[in-house]
Amino acid sequence: MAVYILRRLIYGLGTALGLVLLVFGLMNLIPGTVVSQLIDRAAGTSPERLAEVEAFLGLDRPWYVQLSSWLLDVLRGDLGISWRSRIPVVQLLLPRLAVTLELAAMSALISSIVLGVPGGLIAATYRNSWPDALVRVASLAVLSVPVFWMGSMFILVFSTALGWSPPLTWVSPLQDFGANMRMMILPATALGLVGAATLVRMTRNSILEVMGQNYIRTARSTGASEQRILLGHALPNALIPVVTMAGLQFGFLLGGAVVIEEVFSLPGVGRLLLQAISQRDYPVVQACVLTIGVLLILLNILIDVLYAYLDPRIKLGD
Amino acid sequence: MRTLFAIAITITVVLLVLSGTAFARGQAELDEVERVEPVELVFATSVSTPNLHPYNEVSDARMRRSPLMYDCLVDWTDDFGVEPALAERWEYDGNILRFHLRENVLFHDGTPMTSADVVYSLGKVLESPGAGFYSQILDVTAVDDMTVELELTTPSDALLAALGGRYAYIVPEGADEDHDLSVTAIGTGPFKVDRFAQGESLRLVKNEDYWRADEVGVDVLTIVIVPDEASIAAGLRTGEIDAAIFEDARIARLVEGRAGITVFEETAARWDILDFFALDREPWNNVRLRQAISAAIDPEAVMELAIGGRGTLVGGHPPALWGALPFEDAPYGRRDIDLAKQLLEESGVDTSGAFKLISIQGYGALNSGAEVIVDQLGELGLDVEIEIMELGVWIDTFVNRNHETFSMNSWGGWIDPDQLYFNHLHMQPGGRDFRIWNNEQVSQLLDDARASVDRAEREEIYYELQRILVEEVPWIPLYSADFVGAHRNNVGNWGVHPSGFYHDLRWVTVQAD
Repeated sequence: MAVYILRRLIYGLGTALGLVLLVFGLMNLIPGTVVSQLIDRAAGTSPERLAEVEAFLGLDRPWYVQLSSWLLDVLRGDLGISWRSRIPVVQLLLPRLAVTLELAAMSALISSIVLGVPGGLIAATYRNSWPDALVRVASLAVLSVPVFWMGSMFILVFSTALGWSPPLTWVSPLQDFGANMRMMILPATALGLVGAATLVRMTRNSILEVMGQNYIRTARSTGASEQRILLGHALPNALIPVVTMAGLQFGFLLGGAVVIEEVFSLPGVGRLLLQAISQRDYPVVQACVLTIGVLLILLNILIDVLYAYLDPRIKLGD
Repeated sequence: MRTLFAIAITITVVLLVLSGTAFARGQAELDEVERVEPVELVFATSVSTPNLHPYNEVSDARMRRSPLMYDCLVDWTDDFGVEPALAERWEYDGNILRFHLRENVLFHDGTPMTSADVVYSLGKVLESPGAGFYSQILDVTAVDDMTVELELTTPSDALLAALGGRYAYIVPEGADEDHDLSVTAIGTGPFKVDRFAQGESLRLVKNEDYWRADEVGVDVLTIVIVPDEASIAAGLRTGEIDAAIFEDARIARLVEGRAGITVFEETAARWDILDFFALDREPWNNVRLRQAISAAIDPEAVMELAIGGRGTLVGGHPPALWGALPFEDAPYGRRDIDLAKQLLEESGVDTSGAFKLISIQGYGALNSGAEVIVDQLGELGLDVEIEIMELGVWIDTFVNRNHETFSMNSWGGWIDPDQLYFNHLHMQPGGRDFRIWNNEQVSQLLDDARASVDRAEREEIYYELQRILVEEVPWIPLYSADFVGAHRNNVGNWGVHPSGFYHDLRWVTVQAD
């Protein structure tokens, strides 16, 4: 197991490096630089001033020098200073990471445990009846709707019909749990709904497949109740692929957070990333991508380990 | 597995119960809350400032916020005049502009303001990216503790106006070295920084030592950044937000007619124009071609589609700025397709090929306006294709004077016509003449206007300049977009300075609902 994890970590490091290279390349392919935002064109800025700013930021150096210099700094634990705000990237990133992780965790909880698994369970139990049809149609409808639209609709409906809108500034749950929940519940639900739609369908199919297995027939022959068969025998086995899917969906939730954070004004990594991309603030973009990438890599390793724990037939490191 | 499932279910139930309770409690608090001290104004905008640095940060968003924390030597009046601020009075003595400073003014850190602070601050201003606004200053010296002299190239009211904002804020000597002015502010202004969360909010608390403290309307001023402006409208409806200015004027429709909310529309010193570049070569050096295009365009139709008609038509320059030539006096400012065709024929320009019109990525109003212009020029017989250019590339091309065709353009925030015209139109050296117009007569007029301290005289000069502009058409003014926003009816003393800077938020009051 330890060897397996170590090997996966090494692969993960390679993946993260590849990711950074890809993003760096893409950012350099996009037209425009941050320099245009650091000059005051109304004040009559000259080409010489543009060149000065470029040199100050090191943008006049070859791309491989810029990249290697940034990577060396990262290895030393220094993510640099935001070109646009002149604030250390770590100071910008860390508070926002807490927001994004909370949002993703709440969404994951809503998508899997609150909606996904129970919905799939209901659909499978009442197969081909109206509850099944309702769950399937609802999940299809949610899957067909872009997450940003759903977010906007949430805001519109809640503010118009109920006269309620989330607080405008984020507070930590440790500081004020109530205010934090009031801010997070709508975006987490909007994001979680999309994840739940996939999980509902997967859980339903998985349970139906398991219910046709021989050991379920055996359980029935012993006279066990349907409830016991479903919850005691079928569900635990049906959930193994669902756990994998739920883990992978956490990545989707982190991605979806970029859009949802913008719609709900949540100060998370996604919003920071969007802002940094539009401002060509490379140090911030690189740091955000690296952070999200590393999180996803670690999560994938965790899922693989969890998968082996849940299903003893799987041997890691083979 | 079963244990895991049971734990997860338990966590969910607990979380749901807690969030439900918290939600209910929060709602109850919201319902019961009464406005007691401190009185807070929550102002929302979708535009955030990268940082608060008064000298290094060039964004309009930073400049708009600075007057809330800092003072200048002079302050702007609503008609773009100047009035005393940290300087109680001033006088010209030849090329010397002498300021007599206000006594007993304290910085946020408690230290008294003296001439040494002014000399230090103006030194920073002259090293800033905005130094071009203050290029008439040759030297700054402290005569005594409360007197400062500026040696100028020439006496200049344009400079005096420039000293009322943008970069010209006064900080204590050494503040830029001793404090991180990107995230805090050490000024003498009406508010102190309580918390700056970049891209999220700026919470300011009243400076009780402010020299006009009695006039400040609220104890706390919070500027929140809400990127989705539909959410701002929602916040106004529910009372989470007290006031807002919309970047997209169409958002106003979401709150228009709602009980308890007033939508406002104020004229602004900014404009969107159709800008001609490369005026030193074919085909754009042909004045008849430019006049023909001007006569073919209906600015009212452009304004309607671009900003929903919430703006003002422009003759010479935006009427919110003093000395503007009225729209009615501009000979080509309205659509006359017959005249346009006649002018085009007179130009002799080959119109068989396609013309390229540049617009700027991210500027929705400009892009919409460009579509209308293409249609209207099509009726003139010009085949025009739109190219959307990334802002950074556009600016780079602009600064290097490399634009080769006509382009949509948008800018503003001037406090004096000199800021609008000088760098743009004055020949090099002196100005940047971004359109390569090389117009000596215009350069002379700009020099004359800059050197005068008599507003009536300057007004006459700028009228003459604008008559040349509407005749020679180096650009076509399309419209001046108003500042559109809304505030709740318990907000009093509301006003928006035509520059767009948040000067007037200093005096806004909030009454209990």
